[in-house]
Amino acid sequence: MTASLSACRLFIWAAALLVVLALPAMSEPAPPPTAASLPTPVKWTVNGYVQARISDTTGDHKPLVFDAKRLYITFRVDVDQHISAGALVSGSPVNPFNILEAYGEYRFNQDFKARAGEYRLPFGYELPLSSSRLITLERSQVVTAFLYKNFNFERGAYVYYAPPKLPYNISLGVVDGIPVDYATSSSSQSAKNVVARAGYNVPGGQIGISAYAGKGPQAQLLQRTGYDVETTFSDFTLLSEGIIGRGRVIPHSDRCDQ
Amino acid sequence: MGALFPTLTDATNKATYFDSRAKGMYVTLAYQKKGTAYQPYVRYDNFNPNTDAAGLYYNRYTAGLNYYINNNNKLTVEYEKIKDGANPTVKNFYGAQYQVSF
Repeated sequence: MTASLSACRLFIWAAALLVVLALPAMSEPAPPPTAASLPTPVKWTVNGYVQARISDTTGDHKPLVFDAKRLYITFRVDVDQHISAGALVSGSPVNPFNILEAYGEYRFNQDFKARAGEYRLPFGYELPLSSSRLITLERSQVVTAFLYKNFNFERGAYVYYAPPKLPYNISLGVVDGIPVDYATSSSSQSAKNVVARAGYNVPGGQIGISAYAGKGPQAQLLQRTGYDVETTFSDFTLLSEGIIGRGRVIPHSDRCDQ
Repeated sequence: MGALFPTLTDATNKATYFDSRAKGMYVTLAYQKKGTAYQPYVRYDNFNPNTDAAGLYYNRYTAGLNYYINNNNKLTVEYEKIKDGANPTVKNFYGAQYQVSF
């Protein structure tokens, strides 16, 4: 009797254990995890390009010049759908290693993002464009003289508003007025300069207006105002840009092939 | 030339800048028929480094051709005719560039 009672208890406990173990299998199957419910994996991206050039000037009676122009490498890490960071490193025979961009970026939503660090100024069409995407070998003289050899990469922060459903975008930033390749130890001041651009989408590109205002490394007044156009029609691409301004203009004999 | 431009000498960067009013613009027109790898282009480029001084101009006329070998390789040949009012000895330029992207 005692033995049968113990066997009965053992049976009840075993049955209860089986029921507990079988419960998950008897319940409704769990839905597969959706992409939104999964944590976004950290994504690393490395891109770059290298350029080699052979060139000459007419009538100088000198042999052709061969240059290994530069190596540019961009690094970008997307921590999640909001947080990113990037860096641009350049190398050339003149300057073997140079960090041109190093920034952090926060994307609030599809419309709005902010960037802080050292970055290419959001002014006009040609300045923010990588030289690997230029149609011509060299940048235009007006962009070179006003911007590229002056205020190309600066430290600061900017916000970018580009709603996908609307045909326009706006950039607004505050920067220090010190070119990234400038020896900051000798700089007498670090300004809070303002740079802004408004763009409107057109077929194949945008039309935009840009402005930059503030003080330069030697406290001189800086002003630049410009327009830019990028559009396509049929098989043609039209690019145009104009800038007027004053302060810290480089001589026009300086070329810019970057 | 120094009398025409109020200059700023940046001893640290060993460069001279003009503290002047200036203006300039460029227009580039490129043609690439869909499905082809060749892209001829022309550009007119001008710049005036001091609009308060007379006779200064820098005009550059560019003609070139891009050959997109594939998505990662590009060959460019280009010629530039330069007219520099402040420096008539500036020579015209021609060159070729090979670019590899990754």
